[in-house]
Amino acid sequence: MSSYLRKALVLIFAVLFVVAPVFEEMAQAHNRHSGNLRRLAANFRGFEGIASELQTIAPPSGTPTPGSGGAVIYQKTLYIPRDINVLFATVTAGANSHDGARLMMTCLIDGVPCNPGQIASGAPAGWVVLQRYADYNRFFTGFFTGDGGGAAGDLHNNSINYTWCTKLSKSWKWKPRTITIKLASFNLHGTILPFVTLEGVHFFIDGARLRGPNACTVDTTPRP
Amino acid sequence: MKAPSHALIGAAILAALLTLSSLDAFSQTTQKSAPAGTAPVGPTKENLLTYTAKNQPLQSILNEIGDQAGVVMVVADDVGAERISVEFKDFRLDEAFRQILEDYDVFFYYGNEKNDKTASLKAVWVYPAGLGQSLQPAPPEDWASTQEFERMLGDRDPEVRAGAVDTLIERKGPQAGELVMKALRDDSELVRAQALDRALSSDLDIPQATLNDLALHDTSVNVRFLALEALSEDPNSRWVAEQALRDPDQSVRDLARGLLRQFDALDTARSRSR
Repeated sequence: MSSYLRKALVLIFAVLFVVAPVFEEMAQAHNRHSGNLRRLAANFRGFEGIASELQTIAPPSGTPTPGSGGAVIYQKTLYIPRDINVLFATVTAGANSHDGARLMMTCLIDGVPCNPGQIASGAPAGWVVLQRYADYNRFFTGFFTGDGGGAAGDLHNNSINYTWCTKLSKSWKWKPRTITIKLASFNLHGTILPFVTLEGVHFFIDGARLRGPNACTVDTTPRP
Repeated sequence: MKAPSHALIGAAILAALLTLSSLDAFSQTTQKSAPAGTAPVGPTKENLLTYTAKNQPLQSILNEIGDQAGVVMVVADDVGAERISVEFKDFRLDEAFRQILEDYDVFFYYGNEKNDKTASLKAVWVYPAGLGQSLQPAPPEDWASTQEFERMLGDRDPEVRAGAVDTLIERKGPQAGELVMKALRDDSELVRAQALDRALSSDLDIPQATLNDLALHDTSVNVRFLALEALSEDPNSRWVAEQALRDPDQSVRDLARGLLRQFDALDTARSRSR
């Protein structure tokens, strides 16, 4: 083989294996942070004293659509980079429940539940139960107000933390999205003051580009 | 009992090394120095090298072997001026490089192409001793030159242009102002949004008039949204937020309402402090 031919082959190799991948990769360059979790919003509320608690007695509902009912405690419209296909919404807070009320939360993106499914603990579709405590007043005779007026049905200052994931459908138009988080009180026994409250609340909205079976899908590991 | 056991282990390692080196000696005959001039005896066959050079610059030897073997050689600027002599006959290619470059830091890239049964040596990177430990493989966007990315700004594919804009803003920082202004006039919504998003995340100054114009007149809802969001810290932008209340898209109108609430709260706080 002549040295010219050899040099030509080496050059072709260099172009194919060293230079070409640059352009191949660059075609997807705007996706280069795709695997990374990108924080799109970080907000907080409920740090301004006793009046700043987020409080509701609004009940949750699974009708007419999953995630109905409750009270909005966070609503944010965000620019979502085009390569992101999975959004995450995280709430972390101190939580209180009164009179045995169950504290429930839901997340919606453009009004569609982040997860419309139904959990085992008796919450309406689209809702998750984050705090549940038996109201022991119902089995108690005597006088005991507890530390929140709800006596032995009160459950105060528990750390709660929950994250939803949602896959952004390919058919959705690329545009800013509105993320809504709602709080609800499930008053199982019809008590008088079934308040649920949050304080010192942080909200985090994140996004990532994840591949097929790992892009916020049902895990199929057999249940124990 | 400690000393004998150490001696045994030492003997075992030595035996293994001797065995390996004698196995090597069976398959390869080598002398790393000698004859006259540069005399490539023949091309490599099945990754075996036959090559002779005397008192030649290392750089030219590496290039010649690389050409002969079809291996891309990437040699750092401050490597390769010294003269050496080598002689290899049917010698394993990677082992030849290892011997020639024993005083340097070297990365070997063994690639496995679709039709290859096993991985073969494709490229060798050579650095001065001690420099290699601070290096690691990186994706092209990390090592392609800025000029390459600038060329990509003219690509027909908006995905490529958007990626190039993103990287260039990240690389150039405050010096990317002109580039951003040009990208904000791109025909593609993707390029404009990517440029604006990256510029704002990089704290790059974009003229107020440009942001006002984008927030109110850009055809892309994503760009209008990002531009309006960028105006949120400037109370002088109240008029823009008020006009954006008539935006055709709900998300921009919602953002405008939020900004106006924020400006109102700011006004109230200021009047109280007076």
